[in-house]
Amino acid sequence: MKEFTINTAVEKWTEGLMASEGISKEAASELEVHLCDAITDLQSSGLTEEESFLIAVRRVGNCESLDREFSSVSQSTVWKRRIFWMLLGFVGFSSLFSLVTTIGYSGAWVAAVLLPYELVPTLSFLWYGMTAIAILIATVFVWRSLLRGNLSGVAVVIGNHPLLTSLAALVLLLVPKIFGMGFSVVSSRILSLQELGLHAMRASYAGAVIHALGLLAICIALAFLARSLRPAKSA
Amino acid sequence: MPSKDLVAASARPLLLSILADGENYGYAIIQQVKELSGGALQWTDGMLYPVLHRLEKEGLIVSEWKTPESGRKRKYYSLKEDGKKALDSERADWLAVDATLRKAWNPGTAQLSAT
Repeated sequence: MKEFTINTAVEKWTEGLMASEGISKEAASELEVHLCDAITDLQSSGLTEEESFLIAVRRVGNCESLDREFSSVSQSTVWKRRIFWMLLGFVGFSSLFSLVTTIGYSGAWVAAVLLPYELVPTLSFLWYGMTAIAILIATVFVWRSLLRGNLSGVAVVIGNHPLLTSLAALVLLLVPKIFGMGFSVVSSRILSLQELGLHAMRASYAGAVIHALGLLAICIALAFLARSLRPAKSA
Repeated sequence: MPSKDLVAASARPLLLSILADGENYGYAIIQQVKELSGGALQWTDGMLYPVLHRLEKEGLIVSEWKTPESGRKRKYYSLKEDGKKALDSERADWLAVDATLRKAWNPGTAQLSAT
């Protein structure tokens, strides 16, 4: 049995509140203070920490009905959350795409520059295939953690470091682009114009394949998500 | 037990009245609600807050985080001028409902008091 510690229990409870759509960070702290007050009162009437916690939680009300009531007051909180996740999703997917495309491009360029000419097409296509599979695996991974709700903890961590988060997003979005550009510049210096054109064409074909696969993965994920969000049969 | 809707509707005048006695924080307010109703109105503690937030949005009350000398940092609510006016009109409305129902249930007394 894990030992019950009141602080951890309260913290977890508050995190749960913050993860729900309609309850702002401030409202969650307000409810947390309320919970602590209730626990103190219950304890002074002779209950143990754990008993007080359970009763206090019960009195404050369950997360779903609280979320519903808070959402009806503050629609802006609900939409702020949604837009936050949309932007986070955008950053996540764009950086995933550009990262894998960059690996694909740079691999192909390296092959073009270093390897004997006849090996290049086969090797670069192998490389592209691998990166495309990597995209799919990464998408599935993100998708699974979304489903398991591991991302609600992420929201709390991100909420605590807003500046760092936007900086990290900027780096994630820019670095692959800079790398990609660097590779094009370097290879345009090394290769002849004709070779450059050939490889650029090959790279753009493969890039299109990667993008198509990634987009397909997103659409499949969207379909699954839509299905899981379908309203349950009402009781 | 009164219906959920009735409890919800009564929350507004009840909270305004409690805040008319001076600024207060959520937990203390709900303790007062419980005391006043003597258990006749069932509240889920957390439901008080959305009502408070709505009143604040309407500009009837204001809130401020404060740390008292001994105790936790809490969000205190206090009544604004508009809140006092709103309370007066709520009181008039509820008294009108009360008077109407009394007359409806007890026509004899109503006529007596009218004469």
